[in-house]
Amino acid sequence: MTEHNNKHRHNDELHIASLIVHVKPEHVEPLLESMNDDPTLEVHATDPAGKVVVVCEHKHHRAILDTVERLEHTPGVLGCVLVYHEVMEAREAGQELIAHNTTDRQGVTA
Amino acid sequence: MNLTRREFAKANAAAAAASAAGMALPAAAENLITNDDLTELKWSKAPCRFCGTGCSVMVATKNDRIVATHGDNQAEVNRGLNCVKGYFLSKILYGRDRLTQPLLRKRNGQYDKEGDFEPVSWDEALDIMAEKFTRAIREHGPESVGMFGSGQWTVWEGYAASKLMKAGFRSNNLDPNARHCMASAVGGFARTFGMDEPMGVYDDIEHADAFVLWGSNMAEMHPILWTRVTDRRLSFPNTRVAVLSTYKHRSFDLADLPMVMTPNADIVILNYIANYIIQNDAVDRNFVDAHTHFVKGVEDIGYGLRPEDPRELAAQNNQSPNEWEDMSFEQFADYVRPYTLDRAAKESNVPKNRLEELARLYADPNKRVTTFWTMGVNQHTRGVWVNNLIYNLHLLTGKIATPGNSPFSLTGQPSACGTAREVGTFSHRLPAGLVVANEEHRAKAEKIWKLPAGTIPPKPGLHAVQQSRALKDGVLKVYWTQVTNNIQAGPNTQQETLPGWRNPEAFVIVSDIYPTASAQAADLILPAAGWVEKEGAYGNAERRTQFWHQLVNPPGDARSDLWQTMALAQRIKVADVWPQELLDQAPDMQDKTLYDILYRNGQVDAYPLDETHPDYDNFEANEFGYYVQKGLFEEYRQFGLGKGKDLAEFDRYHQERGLRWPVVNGQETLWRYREGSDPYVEAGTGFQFYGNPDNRARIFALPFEPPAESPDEQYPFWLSTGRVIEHWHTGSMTQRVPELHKAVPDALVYMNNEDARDQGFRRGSEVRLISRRGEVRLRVETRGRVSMPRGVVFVPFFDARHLINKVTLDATDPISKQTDFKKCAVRLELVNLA
Repeated sequence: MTEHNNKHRHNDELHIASLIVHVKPEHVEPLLESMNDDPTLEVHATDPAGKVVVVCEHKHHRAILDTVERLEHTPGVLGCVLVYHEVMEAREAGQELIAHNTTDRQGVTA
Repeated sequence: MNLTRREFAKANAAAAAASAAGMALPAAAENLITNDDLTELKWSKAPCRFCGTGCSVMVATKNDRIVATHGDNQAEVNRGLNCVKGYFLSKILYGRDRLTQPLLRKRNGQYDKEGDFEPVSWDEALDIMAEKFTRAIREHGPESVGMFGSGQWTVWEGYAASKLMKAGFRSNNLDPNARHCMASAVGGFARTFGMDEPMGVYDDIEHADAFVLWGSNMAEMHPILWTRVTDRRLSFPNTRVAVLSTYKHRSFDLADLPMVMTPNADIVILNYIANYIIQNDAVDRNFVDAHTHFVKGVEDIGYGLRPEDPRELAAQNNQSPNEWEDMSFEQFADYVRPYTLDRAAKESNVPKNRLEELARLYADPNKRVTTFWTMGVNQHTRGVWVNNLIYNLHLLTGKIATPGNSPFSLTGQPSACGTAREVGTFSHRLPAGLVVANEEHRAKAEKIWKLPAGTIPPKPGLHAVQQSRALKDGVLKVYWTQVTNNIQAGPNTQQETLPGWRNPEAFVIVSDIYPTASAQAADLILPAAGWVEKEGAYGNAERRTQFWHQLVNPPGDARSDLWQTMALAQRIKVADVWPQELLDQAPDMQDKTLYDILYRNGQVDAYPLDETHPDYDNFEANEFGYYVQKGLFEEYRQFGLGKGKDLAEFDRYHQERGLRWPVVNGQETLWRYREGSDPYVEAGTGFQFYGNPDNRARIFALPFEPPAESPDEQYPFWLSTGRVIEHWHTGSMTQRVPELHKAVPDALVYMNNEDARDQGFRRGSEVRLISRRGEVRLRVETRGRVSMPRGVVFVPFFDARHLINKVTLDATDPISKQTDFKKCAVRLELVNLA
């Protein structure tokens, strides 16, 4: 068997991902509290009917999966779906970008 | 606004998620727009590579490599969401053991079945294939060659393979792995409606008042659809969710009506519900009288085992299982009357009040009911019957083909519908629902394919399980599999599949992207291009056809299955594989190759290279010199036009997030069979089930019959096999992703805590799981994602080191030929307490 050269190495990668957590309404607050203590998670939006948007940043893919698994096992959580995932080289992460408003070609609207 | 790359990615991630969830974000974030120039990422759409849901994902490439994905918020199916499997799409292609060149078993420089794999050129690989196929056909006839394909084939890969096998080699020994997952659903559709695939769509989810999961763990297997169900349930608190299974799984978390039943008790429950509907005057007589008719199916149909098996010798109707006779409504009512609540509760072990509540969901005229099912129903020795009996409930109550009223058969593979079923890569099928046994159908295919009459053989070929047996028996001499891993996924590996593949008389070729268990059992391995390394099309479970462009190049010498099939055809002369009497009818084909007559036929090669998209590579088009994919699709499309299976023109699909067929006058069809929604239904009729000549759907009277094997003193446990979310099917792709692999590190046997204690096991103990056919070693798990009732154990089938199919029985549904992976008898013995 041959080896396919994997150019990217885990130790210089940065993974950004976003998740939607579906949670029973009465468990929204306890869920938010439990996430407060975790520096890898940012809560970006909350719907009291039972939805929370979370962004996480990790050095390893594995940690994203752990996050999903952990959230899914939090009381009241009915499911955790992923929306966005990007991997970049860690050394590029601090580069400044200037944002312009342009229309993309394939409908990737934010 | 100044942003770092990290902040920009996070803002995009948050905005994409909020948009998908239908939620608002602060204004600054909402104004962010992904800018290709800014981020240096090129974004394109593609349907997900994994299950049959058909989610669309946005894929970003940079330097010929996939670097980011997100759920496509323009896609109706997933509305911006993505599940764990889709999430790791960007890594699937980059496993370190990716196959990059052909490998042939050799000794002393020559092919040798007992030799070791050595790298060879494509020329050498294709030459030996051409020689093997040609020689087998000349010496043993066309029935000595076979092919096993896939519900993961793109539409044109399946279509090109079907042409090569059925017309080029003139062998119907072509079957897809969808035989293992969808064949019973196909059989159910064919018998009840005379036409394959659901009448409803995923939009039913947002209209339903009740969901019934019948042998399906949607929470884990179809997470995006489950999210839509969850949303519906949370947003409309009166919605009810019923979940029925032989063990408790994650879908039970949302269940208002959870039910764990004894294996094989489903027929009793279904007939009880039909009886309840009749006894409680809940039959929609107007609908039933106008749009259905009642039939009684033949009984005692056997188990699809080898003919000498005593269970087959004892079966009355195993040679003609797919027959029925008319009956009246009153006769049907009498037929189901013995299926009482008492009997259903006793045989299923589900409490009476829950069964009654389930029956009421169907019977209540004010409740719109959507039923979902997958492998629990289909992988069943009476799988076709269970499909028929589910339709019975929807037909008796008229709850069908209207928004929210939907008996919906889910699929497991991304193109089980699009390729396996619609292209017709089954051993008895031709494209668009045609069958090889029908002379008119063959004539139509021969006409479209511009081939002489009599090219396609009339006899149905070997189906999946028969192929394994024929390899073992030395009947099949050359066997090619693409995008499938049957050594791991096929039943009864130890007694049938593996001895068949390693039979010295057989030459076995495996095309794959990774060295799967099947690749390692083969004689020649061909490195394949996967997913967005080629232009493709899939058809999902709701009749939605979706296209994608080639976004990156495959590594090394890996090539798409389409290229492989066509390149082999270039090396085989028509005169070498066709009989003289057929050649006499087409003297101009005498000196041509199979490639010339199948693909350079003036249709497949009708579209020049400049019709390909300028922003995307297209390896196959460049290799063959014309827009191959378009030519194949446009030719294939002719089969379904005007037949209720109309597809749109090729170019349209590259613009759309898929379209649901029939596409008539440019419009897709949501609910079939209903006036006003389906253009094929005539005005004034209300409904027409036009797959059947009388425009009526059939309501089937079918009895409870026992499975092929049940627990006894020697083998006291039921064994069921299946998937867990992080591993898709046999794990040949997902196991290459270390993160996915670690999540479920070892194959486990899930069992009831008290059963484990009675056997003297602990959680973590190593045990031998033994059936009459073989054994595997596994670790005991008594907690976690599934919770087993007493007497039933569950083993996932993803792990190549623990081939659970050494244990399973190759009993099939006698109508659909689909294997029952959910029921056989095993015992457990302790190896190590741990």
